[in-house]
Amino acid sequence: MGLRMSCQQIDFAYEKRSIFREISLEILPGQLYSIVGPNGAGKSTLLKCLSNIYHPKAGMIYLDDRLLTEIDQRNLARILGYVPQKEAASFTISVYEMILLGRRPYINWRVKREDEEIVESILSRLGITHLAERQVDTLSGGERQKVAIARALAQCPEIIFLDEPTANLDMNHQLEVMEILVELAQADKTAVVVVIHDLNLANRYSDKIFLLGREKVYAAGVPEDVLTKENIREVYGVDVDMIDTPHGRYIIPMKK
Amino acid sequence: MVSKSDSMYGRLITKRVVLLVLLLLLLLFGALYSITLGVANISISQVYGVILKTILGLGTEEYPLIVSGIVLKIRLPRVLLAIIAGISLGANGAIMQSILRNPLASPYTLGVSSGAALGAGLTIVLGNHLLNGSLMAQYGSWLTIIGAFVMGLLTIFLINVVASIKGGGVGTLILAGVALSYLFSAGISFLKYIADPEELTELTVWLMGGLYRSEWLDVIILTPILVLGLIFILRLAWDINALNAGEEVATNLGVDVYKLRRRGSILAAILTSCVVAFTGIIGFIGLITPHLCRMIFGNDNRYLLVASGLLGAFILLTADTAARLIINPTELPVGIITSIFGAPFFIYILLQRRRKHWA
Repeated sequence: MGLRMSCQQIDFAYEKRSIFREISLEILPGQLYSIVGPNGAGKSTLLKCLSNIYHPKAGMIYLDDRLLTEIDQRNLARILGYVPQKEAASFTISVYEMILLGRRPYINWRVKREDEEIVESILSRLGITHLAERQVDTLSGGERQKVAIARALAQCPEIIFLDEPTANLDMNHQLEVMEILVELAQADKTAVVVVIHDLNLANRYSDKIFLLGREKVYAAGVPEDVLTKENIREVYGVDVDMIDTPHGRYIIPMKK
Repeated sequence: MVSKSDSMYGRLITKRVVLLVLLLLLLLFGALYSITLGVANISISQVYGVILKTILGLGTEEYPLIVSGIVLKIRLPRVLLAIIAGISLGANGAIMQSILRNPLASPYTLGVSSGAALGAGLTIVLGNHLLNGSLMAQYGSWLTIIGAFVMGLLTIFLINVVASIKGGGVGTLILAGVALSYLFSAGISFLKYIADPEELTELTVWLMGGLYRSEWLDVIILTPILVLGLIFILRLAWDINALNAGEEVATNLGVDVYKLRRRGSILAAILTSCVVAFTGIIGFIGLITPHLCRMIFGNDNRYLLVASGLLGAFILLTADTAARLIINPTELPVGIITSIFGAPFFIYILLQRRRKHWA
C-alpha cells in the first residue's frame, strides 16, 4: 500500500511560452504537500501534469517504477484523484450522483452495491449525508468544495491533488477542509498535494512545501526551511516578517 | 444488509425505471391510437383487426383491400417512421447538449441539418440535369435521400477536421458549425434562386420537414441503423456523465475528452443525417425533449438518452398526427407544427423552471 510518485526533469509550455523547466520532485504516501508560489509560476499546471490531465512536454513521471504514460487511463484514474479549483457542472446533478462520478473508473454500466457503500461512507465521513439529495448548484461554496473532495475520494486514490481547495472559503471552512486533508494523509496514508496561496495555511498544515518560482522549484523541504524571509523576497518580491506564536509561526507581508 | 431498492440510490433508480416504463407505455398507446386517426373513415375495430390479422395471423375476418392498404401501407409505416425519427432526434439532442456542455445544442447545432439540406437541394435542383427525366422520376427521391445523408455526414467530418487542427475545444466545434451553416445556407439560397418553380416547391417542402412520404422501406432501412447507433451511444453514457463535472475532472477520471467529442458527434451526425434524409428538417424536438427529460429524469445519461428518445418519439408522433388532421383533407408539414409549438414552449420552460437545470 502506498505508491511513490517521482517526477524527473519535467518541462511544460503552452504553445511556445515556457511555464516551468526541469522540475523534479517526489511524493510519498501519508504526506501533505503544498505547492506555493506567485501567480503564473505554474502551480496549477504542475498539479495538472501530476494528476494526468496535462502531459509534460519533456521529462518522466513515475509511479513506483512504472512510467505514468505506460499505465492505462482507467487504472490511473483509480490512483490519482483531482479536485479542481472551481466546480462547474454544465447540467445540474444531485450531490450523490456527483460523488458517484468518482466511481466511473470502476463502473462499467451498473452501479454495484459496493459503489453505493463507498459513496455513502464518504458522505458520512465528510458530514454531508444530509446534502445527498440536494442539487449541487444549490450548495454554498464550502459545501461544494466538500462534494468535490468527496468525488475525488470515491476514486479511492492513492494520491489526491487539489487546486486551491481553500480559495473563496471563510476561515471556518478553510480550517475544516485543511483538517480533512490532514486526516486523509495521516489516517488513510493517502498522499495529498495542494496548490495553495495562503502561506500561513501551507506553513501550518504541510509536511513539505514546494516553492515554485523562476520556472523551477525554487526551494523544497519542510516549511521552516522553505518559507524563509529570503526565499519569499526572492520569489514573491515582498518583504515579510515572521512572528512565532503558540500556534506556530506566522508570516506577515510588510512591503514590496 | 440493506437491499438495493431500499438504499438512497436504489430508490432513485427505481423511480427512473418506473418513469421510463410509463413513458414507453404512453408511446405505445399513442402509436396505437394514432393509427386509428385519419382522413379515411375506418373504424377502430377494423384498424386493429387488420393489424392483428396481418402481423399476428389472428382472426378470420376479411377486410376490403382499401382498408388494409391504408392501415398497413400508409398509417403504420408513417407512425413507425415518426417513432424512429423522434427517438433519433430526442436522443441525439441529449447527447449533443451533453458532449458540448451547452443547453442550446441540438442534433443540428454542428451544421448537420444545413449540410443535409444543401445535399437535398443539390439533388432536387440539379438532379434533372444529371439524370434523364424518367430515371429522375423513378429514383429522384432516393437521390435526395442519399444527397442529404452524404452532405450531413460530410459536414461533421469537416468540423472534426477543423477541430483537430485547432485542438478540439467546444468553442471551435460550435463556431465551425455556425460558419459552415452560413455557408450552406448561402448554397441553398443560390439553389432556390436558380430553381424552376416546380423544383422550388419541392425544395421548400423538403426543408419544412414531413413524414408524408413514409413507406416500409424507410422503416426497414432506418431501424437497424438506429438500434446499432443507440447501442454505441449508450456505451458512452458514463463518459458523458463524467464530462458533466468538467473537462479536467473527466480527463482525470480516465475519459479521453477529445475522443469522446469526436465519437459522440460523429455517431449523432450519422443518426441525424439518416433521419433528416428521409424526413427533412424537423425542428425543436431535439432541443426541447432533452430539457424536459433532464427535469424529470435527471442528468444520468444512461437514463436521459433513453428517455429523450422515447419522449422525442411521443412528441413527434403527436405533432405528426396533428399535421395529418389539422387541415383535413390535406396536411401540414410537421416541421411547422413542431416549431410553432416548440418555440413558445421552450420559452415557457425557461421561465417556469424553479431550479437551474443547466448551469
